[in-house]
Amino acid sequence: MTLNTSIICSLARSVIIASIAVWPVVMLGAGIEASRTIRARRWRFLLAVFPYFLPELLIGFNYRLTATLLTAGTSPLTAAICTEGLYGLLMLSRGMAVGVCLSMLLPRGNASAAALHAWVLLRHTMAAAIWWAGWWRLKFFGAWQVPLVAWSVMALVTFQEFETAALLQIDRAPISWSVWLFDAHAGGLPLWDSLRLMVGPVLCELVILGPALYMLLLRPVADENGPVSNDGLNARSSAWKSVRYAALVTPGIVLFVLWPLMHNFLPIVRGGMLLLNKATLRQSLVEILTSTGFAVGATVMSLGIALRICAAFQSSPRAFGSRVFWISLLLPGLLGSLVLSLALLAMFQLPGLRGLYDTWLPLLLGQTLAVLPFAVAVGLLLMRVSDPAALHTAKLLAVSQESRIRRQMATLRWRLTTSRWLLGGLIVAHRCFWDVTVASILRPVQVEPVVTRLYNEMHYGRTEALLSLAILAALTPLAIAAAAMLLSRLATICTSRSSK
Amino acid sequence: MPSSAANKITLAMAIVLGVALFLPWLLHRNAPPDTLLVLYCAHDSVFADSIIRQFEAKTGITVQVRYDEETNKSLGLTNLIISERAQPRCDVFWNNQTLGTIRLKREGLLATLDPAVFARIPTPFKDPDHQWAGFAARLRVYLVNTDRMPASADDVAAALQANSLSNVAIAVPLFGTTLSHYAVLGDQMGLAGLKVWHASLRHRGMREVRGNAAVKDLVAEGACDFGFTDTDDAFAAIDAGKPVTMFPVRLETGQTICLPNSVAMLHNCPHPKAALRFIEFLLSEEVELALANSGSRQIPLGPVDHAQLPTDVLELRKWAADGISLEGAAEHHDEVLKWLTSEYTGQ
Repeated sequence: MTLNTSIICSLARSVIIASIAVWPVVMLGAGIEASRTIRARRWRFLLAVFPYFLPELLIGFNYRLTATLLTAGTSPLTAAICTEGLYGLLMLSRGMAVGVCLSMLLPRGNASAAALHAWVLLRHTMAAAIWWAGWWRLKFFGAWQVPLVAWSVMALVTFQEFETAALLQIDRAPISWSVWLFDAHAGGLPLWDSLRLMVGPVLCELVILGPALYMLLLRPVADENGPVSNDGLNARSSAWKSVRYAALVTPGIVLFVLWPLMHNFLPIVRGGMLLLNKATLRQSLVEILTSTGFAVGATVMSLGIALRICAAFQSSPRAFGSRVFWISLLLPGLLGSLVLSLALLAMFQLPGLRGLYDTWLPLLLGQTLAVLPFAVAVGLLLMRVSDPAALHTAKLLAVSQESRIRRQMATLRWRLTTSRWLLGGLIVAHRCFWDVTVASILRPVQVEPVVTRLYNEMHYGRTEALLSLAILAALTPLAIAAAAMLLSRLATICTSRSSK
Repeated sequence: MPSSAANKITLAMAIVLGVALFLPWLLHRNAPPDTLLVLYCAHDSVFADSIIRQFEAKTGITVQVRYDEETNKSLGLTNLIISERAQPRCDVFWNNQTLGTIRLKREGLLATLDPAVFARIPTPFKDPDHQWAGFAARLRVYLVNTDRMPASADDVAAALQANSLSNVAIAVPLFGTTLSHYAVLGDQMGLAGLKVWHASLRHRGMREVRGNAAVKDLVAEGACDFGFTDTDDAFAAIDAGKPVTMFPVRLETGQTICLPNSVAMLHNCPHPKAALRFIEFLLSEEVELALANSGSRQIPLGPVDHAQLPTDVLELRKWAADGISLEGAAEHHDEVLKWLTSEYTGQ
């Protein structure tokens, strides 16, 4: 198996999965918008995006045995098809979750159906080439805008995946370039050769990201687009859309929630009791908080840099050199966690930087760079969904004499700004928290992130306490994020009471 | 972006950077050098942790441990130590086998110790130049599902001659003890013979998975009849009540493959006194007995009180007595790894 073969297989898989997923994503989005109440809409959204929040590591461990049982007593070809099928199904569900998240955040296209209809009526009034160019443009920035961006990101997420592929692999299937690269390193591949070999995968990633980059970078941002359409809330709820939503969301819930819970519920409960009764609970919490601390730090850094990248694109739309510089900052993240971490490890061994090697900086920098492309995408999305008119109105009303109005406007401002950025931060931090490759290569010896401990110990019979620890590790950052949201909201309201 | 927002973001980033740079220094600035030890440990943390805590309690030395991950067992830490050669951070390397340690010796990265430190360990299991010593060994074994096939060594041998091996499992030999197993076979059969043997297994459809724990799962859950794994993984299945048993993998000479843990001090390490104390502790009877009585049932190599050994380990000691010398395997290790890398990655 050569690198080229594994790249072709990974690329084909990601294109197929993203192309299949793009249709259900549109339907799921319609199903969410067909909700009768805001609460129902939130629940539908949460159910649809939940598979994304279950870490690849846990999914891999949970389905490793399923893969082995599926392949029992079969020919190598059947075994490869079974493993590839199971992996594809998991990636499809995960990709759909990412796609739904994007489709709900992205604004609808500028070109309406009426504009397209009007253009069709003009067909015989101009040269065919001009008409077709216009038609494509209307489609591209109209109905196809959301599906195209979602397609790009879903394909990228599938193409870059490593943990689940490595854990499910039987007889070298599913074939993945990321696993190939890991194996080549185990065999002693020098770092410079790795960087040279990464040209192919990075080019593939840039091609995959092409539609999204075109949409997000070359199109005007934020203030030239309106907010997300809320028509669905006011329109008559469609029963058909709800039924279709339920049918499409069920496989993801079964694969990522019900099936793992059915198999692990009792061990988790028993393990929880063990964990509570042991002195190890303190150590576990320290490890979880260590991971959370690094994830929060890397999120602040990556979102900070991401915002500067976004601002550079807004302020100097024609400066090619500036864009190239800012895009070059994204390249380390596109190399993947393994090559990035090894490159940083080598960098911090250089004489001038050796003094910083045993600090927390290498891990922080590694996580920041690894997640930077993702943080830029989140930053761009958050800037595009901002609603300057609503925000300005809230600001004006925030100085009202009436304390009730001031409080309501403070809450509104919080919803329009802080809560969205906290949610965006949570998504980025989640990725940092569960990136085992960066943590295992760059972590300082003084601290142990929980993810490396889980990865180290989980293979050992999936003990009950470890299952509970995994659940605890998955829930703690969410609880901290919820507390941060609550506190920031309370602080906003308190400030509005005191200010006049 | 408004300038006030930009300033806030810059401040937040500066705080994060400041914490990352100075908090570790603040936390450890008062620690005397003799009370700290940096350990790289390839042995499973489930079992190593209690040993390390015992040492801490006994000596007052704080041990900062860096464990390895399952899929790249020992190769990761060996490569890390090599990459840190200019300024070693690690004091002691506790490897879960010997081949990676021998590689470090060849690279000139290990310190030479007083022979008295290794006195308890028999000569076949320690370096003649006093740079490392083996202790607490595992064996390569066939793990057999007793619900799926008769459980005897002869049945396993016969099954290995069958036309189809689709119910037999092995770990990808690029890592861990399976790589050591291949290095031993490379020493015994020569590289050409090993290639023929490997091609035959693949041609007959043997299942290849990532790691010995995955082999254990396949056999324990009845997806495969039997597989190649290590004694510690086999005991994990036995302790979980799975219908399995094990037999030692025997070479054509009748010898078994016994893979000791190994320990070594790094040349120019930051805390040599603490490192020496840890090595002495690790090579003690107390630790070998503790590892023998742990879930992994490691086989003591030095003299121990047999009355304190569990029955399982007494049986394993008989098999380990037939263990082949690993010196030849160490010589073939690089050649075998190079071929396997080419076989699996086309490089």
